[in-house]
Amino acid sequence: MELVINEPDGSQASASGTNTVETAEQMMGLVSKGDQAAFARLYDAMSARVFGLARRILRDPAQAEEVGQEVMLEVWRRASRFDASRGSALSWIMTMAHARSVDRVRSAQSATDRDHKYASTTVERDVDVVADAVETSLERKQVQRCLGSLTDLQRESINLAYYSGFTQAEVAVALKTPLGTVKTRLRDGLIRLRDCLGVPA
Amino acid sequence: MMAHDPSLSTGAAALNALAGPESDEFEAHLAECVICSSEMAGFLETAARLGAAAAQTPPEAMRSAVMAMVSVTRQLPPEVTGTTLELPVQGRHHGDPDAASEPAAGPGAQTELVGAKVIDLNSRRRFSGRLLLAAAAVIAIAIAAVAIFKTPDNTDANLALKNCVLSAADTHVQPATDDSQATSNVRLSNSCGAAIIELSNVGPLPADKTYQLWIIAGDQSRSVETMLPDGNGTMPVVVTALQVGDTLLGVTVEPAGGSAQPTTAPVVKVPITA
Repeated sequence: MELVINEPDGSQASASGTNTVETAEQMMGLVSKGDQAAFARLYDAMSARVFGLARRILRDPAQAEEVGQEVMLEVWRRASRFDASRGSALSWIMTMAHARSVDRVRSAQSATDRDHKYASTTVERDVDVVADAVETSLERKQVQRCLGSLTDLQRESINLAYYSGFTQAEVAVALKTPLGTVKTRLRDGLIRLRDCLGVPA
Repeated sequence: MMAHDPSLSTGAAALNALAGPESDEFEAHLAECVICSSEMAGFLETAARLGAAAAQTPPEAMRSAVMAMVSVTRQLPPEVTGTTLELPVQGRHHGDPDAASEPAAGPGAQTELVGAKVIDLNSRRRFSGRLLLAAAAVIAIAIAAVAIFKTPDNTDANLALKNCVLSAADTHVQPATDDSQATSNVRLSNSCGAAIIELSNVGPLPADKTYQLWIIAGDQSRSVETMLPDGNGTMPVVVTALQVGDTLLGVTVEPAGGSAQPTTAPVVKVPITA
């Protein structure tokens, strides 16, 4: 039961001795070996993104908080399965956050919730949210700028699929556009977004 | 003419916009389409940036809850490639709900579905955040209680409790009573259900005596541990879980080895208040 606290801040306990900024991938490496202090740092780096995305998809703050907890706990539990050669820690974590949030949306929604009327009103709401998002963060500004460089159909398709958790079939209905077109717009929209954001192809 | 080319589904797949059968079909295709895999990886990075752009500060309670749960949650062992047993995998959206949340990140990620489920997170989904926190705290307390009697190297749970107390928004210093014969620094967090106890300027004891720390709830006392000060009169730092209804932290002088119940009046008393 004894625990001698030498350092004032537990998060320093296993930080590497260098002054370089610790990357999320390095944190993941430590977390995969059971390092809880590293996990605390990873939490501080990632939790706002996880919670924010869940909130954006689910809207309900209480549900978003539950998803946030589930996802961060999954990050802890599955850390050994993260492979930095396959993608970034951010990508791994946000993929999980998106999947969990969308699972909730899809399991909670009965087919009747997803009729055309609902979809249409959601389109309007979502556009409002994008327009209202006043944030100074560079990350957000860059994404907004790049979303602005897409065609309307590309942007609306991506917004509905990603931020509203619609399936491509639902996006097609909501935008009154053939499924094949939506499929293509999602892909070419992402290509343009990827290149605009400078993500390696 | 490819009216239905799964390769074109990378965008929808990266945005998690494929429904059950489409998703199954695409995953099967992905396994043998190297170009698709590489495109997917870039798309997933791009989608992650979209997600990150929606960042919002989460409630403080989320952190305490996660830290408390982490302290009692076993991690999956690393995957041993090549020898893993392939199990039939259900479709992502109509099968195993845990698998449905599996990151599709990276080609070959579907092998992650293989492996033990240590904790069925899905069953926790129905709990509200507060219940979840309460449940985690109860588990943490149970673990801490076991640690007291078995004294294994259970420092992980303690470290999590310590980190929780150090970072929780509701952590406060709980003063000792005026007649206490020590200098105390007791930091207590109700959201963590735990306290960090530091005592110094403690008097020396004869060799056949020890100090013993107790958590007192009404007329019930639970032993936390016996402890001896160093040459400067400083006690080892103790992290302990607390329960609802605990009223006092007390230190008594007991025969060496400790007692089952306090046999003397406490020399240090720290009332526990919200």
